Amino acid sequence: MNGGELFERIEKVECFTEDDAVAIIMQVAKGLKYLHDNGVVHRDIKPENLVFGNNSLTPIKLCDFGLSKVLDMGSTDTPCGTVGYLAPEIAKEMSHTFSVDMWALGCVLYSMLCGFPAFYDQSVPILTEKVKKGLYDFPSPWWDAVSDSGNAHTHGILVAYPLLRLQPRTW
Amino acid sequence: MKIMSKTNLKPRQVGPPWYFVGCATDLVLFFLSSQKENILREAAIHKRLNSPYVVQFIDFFETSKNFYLVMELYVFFFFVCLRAIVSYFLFLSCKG
Repeated sequence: MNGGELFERIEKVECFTEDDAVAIIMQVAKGLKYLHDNGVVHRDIKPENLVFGNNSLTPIKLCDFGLSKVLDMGSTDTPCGTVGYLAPEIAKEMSHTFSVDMWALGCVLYSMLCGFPAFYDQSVPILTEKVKKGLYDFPSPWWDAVSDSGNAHTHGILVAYPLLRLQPRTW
Repeated sequence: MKIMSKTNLKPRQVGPPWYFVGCATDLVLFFLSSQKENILREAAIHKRLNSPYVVQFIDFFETSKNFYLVMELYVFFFFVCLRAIVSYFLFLSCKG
């Protein structure tokens, strides 16, 4: 795509304004709603797989369906994804459903608002343990400028318990 | 256009369920299965999607060496490449 990946934009601007982040996340949520309505779970939502059609912030589109799957039974047990964006239920090797995409979207929103990932460690086993616990924080001073609404939305998506997690239709 | 080489395809393996590829946080966990099946599944899923929020699927084909997944806005580049290849073979045939 002409506009490049969201990952490149995050590297370039470090953090987005809340308005820009919401504009982008809304589009991705609509894309996820379309996928989920068609029974498809993406399972690899991350800034590298969100591409811009041009140099503005719209349109942004989902790509790379290499790990996606049609959920005929409503859930799946096959663990896959990128560790930093992995939902806790996948890291725990439990069955998972469409809500894993929303967790990953929450991780993307977190990265866009502060410029660094919600879950990170050089060691993969340690990172996986962090993801399993689903514990994250909003460290100062990076999150000081983010409004309570921005914090609340990030919190609403990054909920370890899948049934309580915000879904694309709620956006 | 996404190009996937057939030379790197790995057969279905028996072993631990987690397979680590890459490094640092960009590690991708794959459940071991035939990579060819995965590529074909990716193409099949992408083909059925049609939304302004999803990169549009154009075509999928394979040669003896590669699989090719053609997506929107890559079409122009694809035809430029195709034209260059055809021109090259025409040049060779004329030279021969």
